[in-house]
Amino acid sequence: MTRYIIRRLLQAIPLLFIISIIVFALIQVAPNNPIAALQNNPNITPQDLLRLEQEYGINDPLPLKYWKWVSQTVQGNWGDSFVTHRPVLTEIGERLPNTLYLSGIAFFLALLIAIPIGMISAIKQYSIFDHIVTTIAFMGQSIPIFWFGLVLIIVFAVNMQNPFAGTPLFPHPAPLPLFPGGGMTWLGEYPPEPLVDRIWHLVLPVTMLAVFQLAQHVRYMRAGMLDVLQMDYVRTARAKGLKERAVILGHVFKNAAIPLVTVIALEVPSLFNGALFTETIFSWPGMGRLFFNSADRGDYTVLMGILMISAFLIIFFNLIADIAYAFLDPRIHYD
Amino acid sequence: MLSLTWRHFRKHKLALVGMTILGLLVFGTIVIPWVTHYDPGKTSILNKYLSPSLDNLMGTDGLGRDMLIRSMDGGRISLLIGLLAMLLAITMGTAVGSAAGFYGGMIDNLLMRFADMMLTMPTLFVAILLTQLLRAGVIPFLSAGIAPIVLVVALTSWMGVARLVRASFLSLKEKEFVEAARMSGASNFRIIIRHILPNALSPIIVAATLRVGAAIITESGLSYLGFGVQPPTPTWGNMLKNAQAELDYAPWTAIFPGLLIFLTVIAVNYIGDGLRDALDPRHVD
Amino acid sequence: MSKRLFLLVVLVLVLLAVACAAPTAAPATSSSAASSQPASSSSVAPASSSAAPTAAPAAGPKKGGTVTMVAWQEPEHLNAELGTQTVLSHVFEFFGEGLAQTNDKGAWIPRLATEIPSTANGGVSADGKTITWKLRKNVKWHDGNDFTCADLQFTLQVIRTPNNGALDTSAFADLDALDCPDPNTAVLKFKNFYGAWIRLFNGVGVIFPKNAGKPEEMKTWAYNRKPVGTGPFKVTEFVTADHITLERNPSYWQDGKPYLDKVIVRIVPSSEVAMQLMKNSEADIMWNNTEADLPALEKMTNVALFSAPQSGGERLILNSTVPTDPSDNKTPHPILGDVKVRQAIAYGIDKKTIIDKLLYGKALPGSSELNVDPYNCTDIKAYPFDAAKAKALLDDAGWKAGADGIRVKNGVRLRLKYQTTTGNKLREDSQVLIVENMKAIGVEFFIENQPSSLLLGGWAANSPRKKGNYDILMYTTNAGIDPHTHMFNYFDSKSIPSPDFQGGVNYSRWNDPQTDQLVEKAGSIPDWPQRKDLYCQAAARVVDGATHIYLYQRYNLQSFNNRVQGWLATPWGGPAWNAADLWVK
Repeated sequence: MTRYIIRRLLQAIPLLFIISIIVFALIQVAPNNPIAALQNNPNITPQDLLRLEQEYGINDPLPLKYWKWVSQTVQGNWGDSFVTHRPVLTEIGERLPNTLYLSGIAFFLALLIAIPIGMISAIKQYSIFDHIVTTIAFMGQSIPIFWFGLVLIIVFAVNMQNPFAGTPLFPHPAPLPLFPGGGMTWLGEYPPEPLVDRIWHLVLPVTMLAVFQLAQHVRYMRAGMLDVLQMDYVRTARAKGLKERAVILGHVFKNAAIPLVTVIALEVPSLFNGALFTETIFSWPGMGRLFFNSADRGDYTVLMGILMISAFLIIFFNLIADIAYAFLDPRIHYD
Repeated sequence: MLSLTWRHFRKHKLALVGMTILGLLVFGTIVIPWVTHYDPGKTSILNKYLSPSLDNLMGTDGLGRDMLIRSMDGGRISLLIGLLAMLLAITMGTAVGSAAGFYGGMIDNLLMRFADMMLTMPTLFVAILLTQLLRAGVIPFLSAGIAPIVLVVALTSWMGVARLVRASFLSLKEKEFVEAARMSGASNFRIIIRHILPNALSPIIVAATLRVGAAIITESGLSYLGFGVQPPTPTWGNMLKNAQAELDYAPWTAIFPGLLIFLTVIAVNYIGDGLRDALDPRHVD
Repeated sequence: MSKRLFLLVVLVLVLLAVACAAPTAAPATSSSAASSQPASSSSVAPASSSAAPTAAPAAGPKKGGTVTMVAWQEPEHLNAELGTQTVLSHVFEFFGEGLAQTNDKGAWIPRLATEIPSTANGGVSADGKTITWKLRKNVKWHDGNDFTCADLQFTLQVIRTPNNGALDTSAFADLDALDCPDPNTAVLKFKNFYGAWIRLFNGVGVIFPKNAGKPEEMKTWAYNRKPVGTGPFKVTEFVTADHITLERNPSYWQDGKPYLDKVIVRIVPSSEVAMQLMKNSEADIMWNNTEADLPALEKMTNVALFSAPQSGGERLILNSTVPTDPSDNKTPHPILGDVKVRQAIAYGIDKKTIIDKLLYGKALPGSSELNVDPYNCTDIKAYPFDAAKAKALLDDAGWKAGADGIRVKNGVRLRLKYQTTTGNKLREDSQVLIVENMKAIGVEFFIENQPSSLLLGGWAANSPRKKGNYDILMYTTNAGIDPHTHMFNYFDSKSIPSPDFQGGVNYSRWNDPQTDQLVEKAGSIPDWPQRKDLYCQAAARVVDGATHIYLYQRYNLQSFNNRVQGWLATPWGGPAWNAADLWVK
């Protein structure tokens, strides 16, 4: 097993290099660059534009640009954003907590709700509960997520009022939306108490983010449970006289959870990437928007930073998923 | 086998509902714009933003165009993109997966490493970068129209199919009929295409059906961000993008295209579910 | 199975019910009758043209309060010498000041200076090459230091330091020296007469405090995140991508001002989100509204609109030379090389419908390049919508209608590529209307939009605009407060982009010796009314030549919640150009 792990980790290094080259080429061939926005400004003279292009190295040949980037990154210097002139790691470091905060909560909530629901749904297969759950789960996986976000905003932020406006809970006088249309905290006058404020701002984005995950996890949990419930050893356990609850929790759940565990491990890297749609619709200052803005401005040092970290996380968590799988299912082993 | 499959499928009521819905949509998107001689360039600016009524079942948009007909017109493009992207992804995935599964060894390693590598890049981000790239006109015939988005969606989704096909091939290639074919002198290529592939078809078909729904959602998401098909060609996705600004006073411009996407994807998913049940009786649901 | 089916049907019906109910549901926040918004510049009181802007409100400004401005562009940093984002220029109005400022009539008023230099008061020498600014005393930077002439010298040093990201270097190229005979007097000596001298340190070149940091390290100054200015508010907090907090400057040089305690700039990703916040009264100020926002704004009874006609406008730019060879800027375009064709297109466009229907009447028909005080060329008339005349011109030029209605000449179809930036609904809708107009006169426009970074990018990005590889473009541009740079860059033949001069921006390849003469002369004389006259003559020639077809002149639109008072509409600034005068009810 350890040999397998080491081998996988070693294989990751050339993989990351190749990915960095492909991605770098992808970014550079697009025409976006940090000073493109200046082309239309009436106050900037053509001479200044040319001088700035030189300064920013816009017209350097591709291999040179890559070499500059890779040699400094390998030494630990991830470069500066071309646009804000701050270190890439600072830019990422400022947004990452916001993203983890949002994605993390959505992730855990989705799991917390999905597991028991999936289990009960499987145990009570074909009941009304099961039917409702599977239908809703099905819909949750079919809905275009950004449309769902817009609908949430129309219903809760634009059309519904907060009945507690003016009370100590929400000191701001009416009219106040039921849930805010975006942001992490209330920035105007009469903010609510910090904890209330944060939760109030989390409700809609977390709902939007969690709906798809919830649907997916419920289906996986349920499918896993159904598979295992049919197994012989479950029948054996029941025949042995174990209480149903002990059977479920002790035997069935652990094995049914295996596919879910691997799916979860593979989802962890996306916590880092942030949910671009959610962040855009709810004005959340996170990683997704950082990527989007940087791509728009051709700020490739930031883009490379995000993509490399992301790639590394995916490779790492793929490995964790495989290890977890082997750990949980004694029939599997690698060498 | 086809009739057996069909019989199983028929039992799955929801799949039948799905087929009906999808059938109606496809029919609508082809027939309605044609029958009403729809001209997307024709504006009727006095009628802008009319709310849904008997004259305009889905209201009108900012240029006075009827939303129902426009949605059907856009739907045709969205469905076409979904279909083409799926076909391309399936073709690429099957080619890679079958080669990897059949030949094994070095080829398998290389191809799967390549697929893994593509999987290691965050899909949405890569899609955005790829679209920017294609739009810059790097490849002349792929810079406008629906070609870029079809390619981008396919390029970011073939890997799952490859894995599936590879798994099928890995198990199927040990079977006796392959041995028999080999002994009768069939070339590798022939064995793959004529002998193994037909047997590996079931998971591919299921994957294909589900891919269509996923492709439509991906296209609409990218269009929503501004990276999809450009107007004036309508698709459900770019109709949603335009509609976000109008949520307050003309919400029907946002609700209906989104609803249609939702219905299509549900229909397609139900069909895929039905197919999975019909083709693989061991699958428990 | 049938239970599931039933549930599915129920859910779908519920969804459809919601969908059908939504359009007719009245939003809870706005009341029934929408009040009409003032159509032209709204103001509380007129500003006097020679002194600093003052408000003379009826009820007297109240002190205190917090105002939230919503910014739908993410600020990269707050250093106006490093970047030119719109959001930056609007936030700057709260914390920064120049020596002078343009008021709503386009006239210059002194700000950090005590008066505007002129030949009359000796501030401008006879040959125009020496300018003397008298600086205001008792002005303090936000960190407590005094503002003196040494700060101007430091600023000049920073702008001239190579490779530090400074944007405005070439604007200061003609400045020979900046002397400080005493801490409150600055003497600028120019090598040659520089027509736009008044722009230096007022929009071109930000004044930095001399302790901002080392000139070569400007990109990494602490100033970039927490700028130090002399203005009515000081930046106290900048949380990336979320908000910027500004607080009242207690030692501001205008007595008794500012009235507000705090300003919060809230950062959101799109103008749609910004509109939602305005609607819910979560935000008080929104900048740069577009015409697309108008129907929603009209319905918001809690919001008042600041609107003033802006300079320049949205136009069609026609390529007068062949589109195929980037180095050939002489051979006329096979179709657009003929001025009659260009004029026909101008006559064939129904601007009024675009303005009334897409812009809700909040724009003026485009007439020429220079259309706002202080350089409003009122003599130049807009092309009227005259399809008959357009057809006559085309017939004259030898283009006869073919079988499908599109004109043909010598086997060539009158078919032109029509491009604008992607992702802009207003433009996309205008295109549809214009294509219809053209079809009616026998011209075929086909649409091929591209993202802004490509279409309007640089030479290396293969921008069609730069390389001349286009037929018709559509976008907005405008001259700044001094028209010289713009007129020279856009219409002088020396500004035509080519492989040897990739920085050129005379995109239409307009090559007219008389225009050259007019513009260059105007740039060499100090007398303003004469300069204006020459520029207007040049603009008139461009209009006749129809390489720029002016569609509409936009309004500078900003929106304010009703609780905010003291604001004044102007073409030359953002919502906070008189930030010190703003107060809340």
